[in-house]
Amino acid sequence: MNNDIASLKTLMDVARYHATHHPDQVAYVYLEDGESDEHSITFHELDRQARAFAAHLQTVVKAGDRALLLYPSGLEFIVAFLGCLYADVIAMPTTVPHLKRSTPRLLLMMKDAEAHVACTTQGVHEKIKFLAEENVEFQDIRWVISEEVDNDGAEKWLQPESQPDNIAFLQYTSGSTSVPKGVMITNFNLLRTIQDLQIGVQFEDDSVMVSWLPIFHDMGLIFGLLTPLYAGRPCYIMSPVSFLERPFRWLNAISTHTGTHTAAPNFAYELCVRKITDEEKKELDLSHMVGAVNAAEPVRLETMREFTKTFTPNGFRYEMFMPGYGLAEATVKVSNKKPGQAPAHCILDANEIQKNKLVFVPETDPNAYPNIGCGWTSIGADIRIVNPATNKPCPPDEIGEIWVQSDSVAQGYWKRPEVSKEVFHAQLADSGEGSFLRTGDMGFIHDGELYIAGRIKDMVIIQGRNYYPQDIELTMEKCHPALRPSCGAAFAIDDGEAEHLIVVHEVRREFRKMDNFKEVADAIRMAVAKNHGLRVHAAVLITPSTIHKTTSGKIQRSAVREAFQGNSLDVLYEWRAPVLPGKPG
Amino acid sequence: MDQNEIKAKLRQFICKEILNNADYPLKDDEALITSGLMDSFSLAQVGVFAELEFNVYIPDPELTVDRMNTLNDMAFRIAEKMSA
Repeated sequence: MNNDIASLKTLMDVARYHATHHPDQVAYVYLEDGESDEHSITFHELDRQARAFAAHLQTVVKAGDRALLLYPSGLEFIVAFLGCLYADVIAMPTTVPHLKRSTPRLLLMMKDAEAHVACTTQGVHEKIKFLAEENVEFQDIRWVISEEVDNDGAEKWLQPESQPDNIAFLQYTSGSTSVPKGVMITNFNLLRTIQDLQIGVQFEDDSVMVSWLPIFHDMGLIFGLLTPLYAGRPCYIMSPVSFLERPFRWLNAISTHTGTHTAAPNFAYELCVRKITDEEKKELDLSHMVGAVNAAEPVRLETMREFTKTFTPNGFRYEMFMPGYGLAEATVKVSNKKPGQAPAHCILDANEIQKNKLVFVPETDPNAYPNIGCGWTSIGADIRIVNPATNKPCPPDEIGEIWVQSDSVAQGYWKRPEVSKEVFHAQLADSGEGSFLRTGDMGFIHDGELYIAGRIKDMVIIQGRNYYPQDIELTMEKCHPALRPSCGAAFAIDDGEAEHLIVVHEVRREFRKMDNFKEVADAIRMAVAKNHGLRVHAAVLITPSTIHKTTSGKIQRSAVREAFQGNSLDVLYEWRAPVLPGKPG
Repeated sequence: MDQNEIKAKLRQFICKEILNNADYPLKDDEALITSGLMDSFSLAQVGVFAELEFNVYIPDPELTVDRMNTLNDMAFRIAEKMSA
């Protein structure tokens, strides 16, 4: 790591450093169509536009005010985000509401943060004018339109003092059905996380980033966009839609621009295996890659093996995979694969996991459950495994909640002192050590690496055994070709006497008119019984693209549960266990 | 359907799908779970099989080792539900 940069206090200082030391180097390239239509910006121009944007902001709001950033992927977002840092205005990056369905969350965020200004592009502003007309929350909002900012105004910028402890931005959590919470990330948190990432993934002086991740999502923002900025290296970006339309574009950008680093959730690697044709494969060279980060959803051994097998002829190697773990509350990263080795994994007895016990078995064992190591911290974070009921450290052979104490742990949730104290300042019951961040994720430490079991709040507990819904969802999607991958939800409902497992799954578009949905539901019921020793209480098949997901594409199990209970799912077929005498329906 | 037919279908399912040995000579009164031949975990599969094949639902409190340890036990319980 460059020592000059390591001594800087804020990302603004880092961006200014690069603008001074290598002004003409390319900072970002936006691939408009995901392929050849390139828009690029140098470090000098980025700094100039950020200063102009900040100068403009300074005429509208004051330091510490909140600015909503409503941008599609592209250079305008980066300028606006940096502009906020340059004006010491607290940025709130969020998704552009293109459907009325995504508006309530935005309104809740605005109210929560008392946003003063909304920044966006001309195009988006046209599309979301209805917001301002329909919602009182927008009444007093000032709009800043990127195209209207005068770039010659850079000279009017008043540079704020570099304050490590000031909040750089609010990262709003997905907030499935509840009010979203704004994680307060300081300049210091941000720099320490980026350093952690940079060391962890070996992002060095010859590295090149390629990212299609959503820019308002913590992994897309901090890893995809800001890590290369910190290192002063080029970053190629495309929109998530460009990738989803044609996954080839992602690997092709890596190939064409000699990308060394990228990141994506597991499903994206799976999509590449399924969708990239043999003809397309001929064009790909991935041999120069260093790190393909796999994080933000459960990492699957099978996917990484399949991807490696598929792209070995293109120079991809298994050790390029970098599984990682993190959360917004820890400024995206807690751990990732240790440099210079292949991803580690261990095979657990699935029966014992349900009792929070670690029992290792051979891969051929009928109860074998592979789990991928998510590496370790690169900045000395203190990571513990704690019994979430007693707050006492777990013995080494037990699964417990992951607790973290580190420079990258955020300051808490915006204006929520009570819940912040609970989540960000937990203490160990035996030694009184802390304050720790309670991640809400279950996991364990094995052979010096952190492993993840699943979210506590999603955990299905039936007859005293723990089940992780993502495992059941994986079983489902594999059991019948009519089921749409990554579009199922498993959760429990309580009928007052016991918890029961409910499963909901989308069917694929081409199967939505099939006449034998019963066969699909039967397959689900048998597969779940076989793999998990559980009978489902209801199996529901729903219309494609109707399952509840977060803005970053994760299944919102609590919202699906609510819809199931409120009978508002878009049902194609449903099987329910018979109501038994003497039991409430 | 009499208990012998039920047993025949159950035997075929259990040997093939649970024991992974279609030719296993499973006896009517052979202990399946207490002997370790089959995991209690697999009772859920027997339960779903009963639902799909015989259209009977065996509630959780009855889907237990003490009530479902042999083919005889299982067939008896299923026949009882079918005639109910």
